[in-house]
Amino acid sequence: MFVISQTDKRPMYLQIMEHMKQRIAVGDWTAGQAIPSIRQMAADIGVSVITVKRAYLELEREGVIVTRQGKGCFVASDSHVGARIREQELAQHLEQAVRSAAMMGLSPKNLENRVRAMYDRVTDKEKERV
Amino acid sequence: MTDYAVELEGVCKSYRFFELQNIALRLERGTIMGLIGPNGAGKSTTIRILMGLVHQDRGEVNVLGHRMPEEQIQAKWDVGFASDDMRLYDSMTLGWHIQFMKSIYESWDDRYAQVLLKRFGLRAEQTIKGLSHGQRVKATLLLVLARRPKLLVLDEPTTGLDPVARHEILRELTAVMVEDGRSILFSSHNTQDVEQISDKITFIDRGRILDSMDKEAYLDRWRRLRLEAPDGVALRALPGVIGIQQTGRLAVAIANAFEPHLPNAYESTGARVRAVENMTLEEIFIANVERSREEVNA
Amino acid sequence: MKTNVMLELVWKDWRLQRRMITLLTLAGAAALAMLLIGGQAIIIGTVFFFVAMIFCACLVPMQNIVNERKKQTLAFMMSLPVSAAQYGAAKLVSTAGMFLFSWVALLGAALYMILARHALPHGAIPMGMILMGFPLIGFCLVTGTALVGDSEGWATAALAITNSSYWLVWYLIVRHVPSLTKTWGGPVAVWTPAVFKILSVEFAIILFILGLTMFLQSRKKNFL
Repeated sequence: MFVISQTDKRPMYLQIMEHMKQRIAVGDWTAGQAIPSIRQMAADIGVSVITVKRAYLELEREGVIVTRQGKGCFVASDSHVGARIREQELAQHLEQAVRSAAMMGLSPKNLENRVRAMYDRVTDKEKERV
Repeated sequence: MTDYAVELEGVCKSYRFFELQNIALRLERGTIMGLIGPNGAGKSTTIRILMGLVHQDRGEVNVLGHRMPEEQIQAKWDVGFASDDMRLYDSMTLGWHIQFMKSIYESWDDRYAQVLLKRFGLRAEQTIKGLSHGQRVKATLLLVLARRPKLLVLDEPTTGLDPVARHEILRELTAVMVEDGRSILFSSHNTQDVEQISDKITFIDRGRILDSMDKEAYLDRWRRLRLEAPDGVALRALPGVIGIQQTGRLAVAIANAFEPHLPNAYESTGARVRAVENMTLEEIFIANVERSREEVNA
Repeated sequence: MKTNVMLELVWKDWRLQRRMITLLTLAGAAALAMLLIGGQAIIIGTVFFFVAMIFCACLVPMQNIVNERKKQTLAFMMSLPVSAAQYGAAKLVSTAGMFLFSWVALLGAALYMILARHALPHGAIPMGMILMGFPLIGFCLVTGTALVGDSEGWATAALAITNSSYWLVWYLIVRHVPSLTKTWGGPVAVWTPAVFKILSVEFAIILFILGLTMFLQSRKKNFL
């Protein structure tokens, strides 16, 4: 079961949201599948109900999950939810990379070269592993 | 049935060297409230007044709809109380205590008691004398939990416990909340526990309530900003910031009413915002207490 | 529901203290048995008999009342659905009940020894009854102080005062009511008006102490 990281500087609700998104992204939870109620999730993780409630609310706002009155909470039936989550993650990483580059004063061309070099390095490592 | 499991309004109590002033507190049914504050702040006194063990000098106390201390007997049927200075009977076994509770409370859930015995690693045949500190605390909590009371009032339930025991107890406390309508009020100076399981946090220091708020909203209001000041400029505390410490060009500002525009506000004064960090409850605790004491002394 | 909890409290106290009470009562009975030996043993037996009873009068309130606060089980008790007044009443009942169990048993054993086994002349009965009242009064005083005083210090002070006063009071009685000593060796129990007066004074003192205890206990505002 999901464990809150104490060394993770992000608030608990964000960690919970990420965990839930990951479960969807890897396919543990499929589109339209029922997910634990807020209270059950809170008890399973061992955190306050209000934190889980916030995570669920945010996820609903992002369209990742839906709450049906009286029936419970479900993964959004939109089959692209998993892909959308991955898109979001990539966008966040790219934003961070661009900000760091800007702080260092790199030009877009420089950044592009570095991304390409990193891409090569990572795919090489993957090949070595396999 | 009221919506509040616990309601304190204008509660005051004077002792020779200590005074509880105007305590106001509301615990919604079905939630957990963490009461935090330094030692001697008045946590235990507040809890005792809540349980009817100490009579307030002034003010209203309502527990599960019952006026305290007048209706304490009715209230206590549905309240499970445990404090860290409470002891069981040394010469008797845990099993004897279980029998004792069973004979008083109809709501005793024996099956759950057996589950807890196993989960906490306790045996009914053990005498209380032979238990370690952690085991004794868990035994006391078992006696309270197995009754499935509507309200749990716990004074320092995890103090002095090893990490494993603490984890076991926090687990059981959050498990209580699966049942709708049950509430918990606990006091602790372990901010990590409070941060993790509380829905609402009440801060008390020197007999006064400093803050009583929704945990998520509360944590959201506090930020630490790491700033870089332009040459020779002393940065000041903008609205929402309660303190700023600067050495040379680097400064740290603590905000207790953070708004998303605050970093921009600093940037427009010429400073550069290097980081905006969330604060742990422990850091908030220290900043809050220091600030309130400064205000009193000023 | 309420009386159920109080009964459970009384029963619980009995289970915690019964070993001690039983031992002391048996010790007192054994002291009585010594009377049958005759001679010096009569004096030794009588003394030990009263010592056992005085021990009981001291230990029962100390173990049952003072220890609850000292050993911090009081918070546990007050977490139960009882008020301070109910707790105090249950405590009084269990403490008095346990002591009286012993006291009545020993009184019965003593009367048996005198009337059935002729260990002492019947003349000793009136004086004996007066003396039996002493540990009873001492018990009431220590119990009352323990309940109301909320501290070991007060109860111990009451204990010290009562234990050191027994001799003095007995001496004063014997001094001022010489008729008592005249007949205590005789074959017939002589119930003079003086005897009844002393017994009724003892009874009145007991009632006064108990009444004062209950009054003061009900006015308590800080229970822990």
